[in-house]
Amino acid sequence: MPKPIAVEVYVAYLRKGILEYMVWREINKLVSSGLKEAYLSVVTHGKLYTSSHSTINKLSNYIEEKTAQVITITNDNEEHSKVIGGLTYRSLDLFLRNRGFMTIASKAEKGKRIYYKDDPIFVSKVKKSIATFKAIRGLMPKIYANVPGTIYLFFVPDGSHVIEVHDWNAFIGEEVKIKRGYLEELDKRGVRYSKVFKLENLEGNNAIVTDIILNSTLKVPLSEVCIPANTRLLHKFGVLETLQAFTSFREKKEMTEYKFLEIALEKILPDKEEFTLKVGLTDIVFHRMSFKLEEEI
Amino acid sequence: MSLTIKLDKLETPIFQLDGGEVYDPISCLSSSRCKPLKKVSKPKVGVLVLSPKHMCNEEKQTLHRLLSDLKEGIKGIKRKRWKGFHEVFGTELELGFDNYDISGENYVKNILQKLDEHSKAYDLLVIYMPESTRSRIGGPYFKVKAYAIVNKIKEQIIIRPTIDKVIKYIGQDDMLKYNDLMWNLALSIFTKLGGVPWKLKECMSPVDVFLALSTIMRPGVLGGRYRAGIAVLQMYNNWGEYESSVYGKLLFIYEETKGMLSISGKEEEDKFIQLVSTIAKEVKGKNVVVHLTDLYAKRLHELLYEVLVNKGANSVKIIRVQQTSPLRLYMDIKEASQAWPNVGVYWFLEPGRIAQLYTAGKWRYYPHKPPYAIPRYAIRPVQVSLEYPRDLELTKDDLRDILWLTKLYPYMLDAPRTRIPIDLRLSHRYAQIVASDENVGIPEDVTFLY
Repeated sequence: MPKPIAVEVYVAYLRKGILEYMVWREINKLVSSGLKEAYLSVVTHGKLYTSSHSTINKLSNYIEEKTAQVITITNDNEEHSKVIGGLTYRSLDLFLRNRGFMTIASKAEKGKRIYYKDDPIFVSKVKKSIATFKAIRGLMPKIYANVPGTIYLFFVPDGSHVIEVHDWNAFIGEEVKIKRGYLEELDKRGVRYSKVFKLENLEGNNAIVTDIILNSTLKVPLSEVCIPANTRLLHKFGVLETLQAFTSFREKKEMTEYKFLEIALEKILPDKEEFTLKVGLTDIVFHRMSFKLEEEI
Repeated sequence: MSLTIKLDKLETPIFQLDGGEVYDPISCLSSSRCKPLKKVSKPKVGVLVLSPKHMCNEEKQTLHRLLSDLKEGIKGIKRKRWKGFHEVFGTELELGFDNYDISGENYVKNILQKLDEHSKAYDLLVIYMPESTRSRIGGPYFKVKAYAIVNKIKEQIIIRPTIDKVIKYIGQDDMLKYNDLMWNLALSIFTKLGGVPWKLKECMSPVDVFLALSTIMRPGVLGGRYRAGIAVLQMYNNWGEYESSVYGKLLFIYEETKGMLSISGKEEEDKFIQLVSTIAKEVKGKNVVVHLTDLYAKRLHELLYEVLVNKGANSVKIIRVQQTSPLRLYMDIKEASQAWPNVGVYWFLEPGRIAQLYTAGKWRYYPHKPPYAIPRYAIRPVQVSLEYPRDLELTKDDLRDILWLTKLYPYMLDAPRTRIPIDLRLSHRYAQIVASDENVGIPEDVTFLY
């Protein structure tokens, strides 16, 4: 059995009656107010795990302060593997944002982010009067922290398409999406919806959308509506080939997916062969891996 | 310092045909060294082609070219050439043509009327629907599929992207791709007519039974996290042959942040137990492997396991196969001397629990000069993980079974992007059809799902 990965981290029990989502909400508030290191925290199994002592101090209303201490956690059990994975992801996220990277949601993996820069290697735009059609490609990190002895950090080339609308009239009759925050608002108001919406009409800065499944009508601010960049729509506006060629690394003969990976890794990491990330209070060195068939070794 | 991880390789299956045991049945059929394992019982079959009354010329010509080449074969290709339906399968296709009216909101109704009119006079109906995708649950494609299952009508739907592909391939003189597409279409039609092109030479022991579970959430939020869904279970034997299906409506709880499904409450749990019990009538003394692809809460795994054990299963393993696993490996192809990684390559991300397995791949071949073959596009592995029980191990045999089941599509053996095993693919497809029409019933045979 390989020696598990060991990480030092602050830990504190949540106070009685405090639910995990309340602490997450407070952490997000701290980050928004400028305490960036609060982001390097994970709340799970009734405990707060964090890299920063100041976060412990700021969250004193939510935790049993007397239980706060530095402990060593190892990735040979479910709870601590989850903490190590979460802290690694958050540390990497902060590291990349500090290097000027932005994110977009991955279509391939729900809830995952693709990191990219406003650079022609990562972004291609087709401007039309009705909308700007964007193809964005970058690297999606994927972390496996529950294998004793190893933390796998994969960077996967991935892409997505975005439509920035200039003239909403051009999209009347098309399927639209309503942003998650507004759907939560609808939940609170007790409004039933199916998530399958069509843009029916425009009224000033509002969209009149029909719920196709429930056959009901909603009035939604245009700022809360977006047009999904699906294949059919991109095809309809004549940009599918161009956008897909870019995100599938076919826009130039020499731009293979492998080539893109090499270029993007150089932009993302200070050294693509080996780099260090602070996970909790411990520096972890990540080495590049190569895969070989037995006969190639 | 760079680390090296060792990759292992599984053997791809050997297939039994009339006249040979081969790794590549398409090559064998194409070279006429082999004949299909079981021919269609009739020497001539009637096929009616239904298409919209109004089509643009290019669309119409392409559809006719596709059907004519299906019957007569494709010229100008050396490797794996499609030689025509009669030449390969020994059955003559007699094509008839009719049109349906596409005007109006509900053109599906017009197609269904035509199916009623002609289904008795023809062995199979080829329906061209100018849809840009298979469309969502309850859309035209699935409505026609569901109607065909209910009324036991054998059909082959062709949608617009297929015609677009044919236009592109012929326009670019890319006859190899056109040839691949034709084999897929031909095999699909052949199996629907009752033919069996091949089977595995050896069964997949020590497993006796594969059970595939697929779930589809129907559009609509029933308040909070509740989702109405359809669960489908299908059973396959260890030759990879379909045996039975069941389905039921269930109320799920969907945890959006984790993407995880759980069953809502005791009443729904009982319904699920009933479903599993219905399909698991004959698992006594058998080694059962359950394949699933969605992420479910542990409680669902426990229920599934308990029912199968209570029904007398000798052993039960619940294995998740994720097609969406984004991981893939690269080789700098400038220097590559061969295609890499090959189909069958695997490695354990976590020994005994999580593996990455290459079940499909497609390369562009340069027979006379290096690098000989380069991947046509990035080839992704599937991620295979043992979900339950955790005291067992994911083994090489489990991975071999998944690889072999993936090679068992008689209608898309060469379709390079199909990476998941046949049991999961067909149970998912059935769930999509059921979600479009809950009264669809159990298909008379599995080819209704192709």
